[in-house]
Amino acid sequence: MEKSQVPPEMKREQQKTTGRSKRPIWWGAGIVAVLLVAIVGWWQPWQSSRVMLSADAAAQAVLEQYPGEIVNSTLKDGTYIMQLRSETGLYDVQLDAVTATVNAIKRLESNPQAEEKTLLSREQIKTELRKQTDEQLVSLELVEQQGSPVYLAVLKMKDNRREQWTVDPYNGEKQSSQTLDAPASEPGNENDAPQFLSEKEAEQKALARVPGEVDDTELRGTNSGNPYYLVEIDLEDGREAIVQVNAISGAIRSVTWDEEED
Amino acid sequence: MSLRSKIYGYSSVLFAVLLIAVNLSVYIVFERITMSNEIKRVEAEAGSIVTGVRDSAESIPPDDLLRAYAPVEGMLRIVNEDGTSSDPVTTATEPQLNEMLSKLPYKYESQKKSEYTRVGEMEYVWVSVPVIWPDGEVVNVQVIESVADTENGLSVLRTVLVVVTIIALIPAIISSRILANRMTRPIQQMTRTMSDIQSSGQFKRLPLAAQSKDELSTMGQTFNRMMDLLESNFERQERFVSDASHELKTPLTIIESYASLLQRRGKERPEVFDEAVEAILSESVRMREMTEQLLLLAKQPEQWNIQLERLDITRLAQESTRAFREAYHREVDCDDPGSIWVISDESKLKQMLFILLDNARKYSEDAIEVRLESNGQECRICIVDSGIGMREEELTKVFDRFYRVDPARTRSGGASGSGLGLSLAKDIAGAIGARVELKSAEGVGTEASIILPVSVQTNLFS
Repeated sequence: MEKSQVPPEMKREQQKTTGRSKRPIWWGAGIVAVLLVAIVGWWQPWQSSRVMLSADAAAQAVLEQYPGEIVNSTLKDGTYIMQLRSETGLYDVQLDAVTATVNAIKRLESNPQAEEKTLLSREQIKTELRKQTDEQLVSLELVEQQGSPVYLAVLKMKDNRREQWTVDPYNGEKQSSQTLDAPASEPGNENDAPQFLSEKEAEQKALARVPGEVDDTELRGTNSGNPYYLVEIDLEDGREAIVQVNAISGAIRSVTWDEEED
Repeated sequence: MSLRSKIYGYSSVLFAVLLIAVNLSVYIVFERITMSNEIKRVEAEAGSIVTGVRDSAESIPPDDLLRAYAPVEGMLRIVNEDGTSSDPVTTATEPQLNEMLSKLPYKYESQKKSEYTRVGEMEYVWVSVPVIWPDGEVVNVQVIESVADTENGLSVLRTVLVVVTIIALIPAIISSRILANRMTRPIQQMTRTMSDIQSSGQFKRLPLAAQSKDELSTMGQTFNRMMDLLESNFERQERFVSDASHELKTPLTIIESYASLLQRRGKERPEVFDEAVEAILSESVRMREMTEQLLLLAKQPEQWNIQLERLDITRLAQESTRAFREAYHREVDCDDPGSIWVISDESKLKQMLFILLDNARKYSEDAIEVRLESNGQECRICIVDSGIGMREEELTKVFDRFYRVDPARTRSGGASGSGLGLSLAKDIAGAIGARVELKSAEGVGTEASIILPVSVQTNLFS
């Protein structure tokens, strides 16, 4: 009986020592676990191996996107810095050596001849044409004539005559005009596509998406197999939105918003 | 905090932390992968827009171009180096979002950039890619595309993981509770038994489930063995106290009465003096012997300090009989069959031999014979006397403590023995792995034998 009674001080001491010896183990385990997580996170085994491109392959990757000639190429911190000379000027191109994506492009010099060759957008042509005439514009298409692009505009004159203008796509100036003798083209158009939505329906669809006032509606792409209406809507805040409505299903494909000019 | 709730708490918390950590890391890794894939996808889309724009910039008006390449559920715009932008094309299904997208601020980025943005309630990936425009200017193609589908997938995954965590936690918690109970039940039982022992002063044993070899039942068995040991120890001590107080009373009374007799008459009557001194002397010798033997008996066999060595029995028997002959002037014969080697403890063996010789001396008058036999496996030391012998029923009692053969029949007729000799001899025999056997016939004599195994296992007591 007496033997089983250990003095209380002894007991306490035993407990203390076991407690002290276990704590570092726990700390160690915790630190090891944190280290493991950190190593795995840094190493990222789920990512595919990272192999750097050779200088030739990098140049090839750039030239595939931009025709021209690589003047100079240096590799720095996993990025190829290359100088590309193309028709339009000299560019500084930074290419990621691993993913082969272009990170930055900077123009160093420009080539003045190439400078003017900027196609104007249809909207810009429209505003240009409005300045030149107040006749109603029926259609405006960019077409290729003798190897170079031109805008063909069909205007409906006040005397119900139709006139086709050839417009320079770079500055919007009228190059030539001819009278069309086919007022029948309009009903013919409608006969060709009886399954299309009417302009009214398209406008309603567009207004349901973008509320405002319809300014102009235009059917396009009838010969491409993907016909759509472009509905121009004046918004309450003064901006203008062009809604692209599928001419068959009536689905809204996209909305182009006029940038505010201030 | 009790051990049970500690085990329960720790294992539950550990399970919970592990589960949450596993599921969280799965989710985080998956989210990062899908999100980086989404960004890659939108970047690839921007790339294809760039290619498409470059291929058809000469033949399609720019605004048609943007309309044609606008991503589904998103926005596309071209930002010029001077910070101006083309008209943005948006394709969101929700009217308000469309307008919000069109009103997003923009600026020219010199580096390729991709990031997450939130417009209204929707998550978007925004990518800006630098491009050389066909006119030679460097512009940004900026694409915003909704990642709502991916977000939905991720939120489903989140829900599933949370539900799975909770479902998996339930059995984990239950099992840790069962584990805690299983582990602590024997301990609680043991504590209960111990406090029972403390309050009742009785030596109790733990009830143990049979056929279990785990640590807890081993602990229970050890506890029970310890209780056995404590009980036998306790009994020995108790017996010693009661034996000593009881058996020493008689000689002390005798000494006391003779001493007082001497005090009163010793000087006048020399015959009284002689008798009294003799009685006191013999009683005190008896008392000394008895206390020595009592102390020996009170010892645990484990504390006997046995030293095993290789012994020649013949030599030992001859030495002992010679010493005995010298001390008591009695005829003791010892035969000599040549060396018999055994492994035993010399002093203990001698002690036993003396106890048996002493008995033979006390209960016989003729010569005592010591015979040695060996049959290969065990050897036998027989002490044969032709004294008064014992009856059959006495033979069974002689090993009891304080049992003495009828004093009237002994040679000296007095209180010459303590009654502890054979009892002690039996204990010693047990301690060194030997046996003591008695054969006797009344009036013919007694033959006491010590039987020793020739080879002794070294682990006698374990």
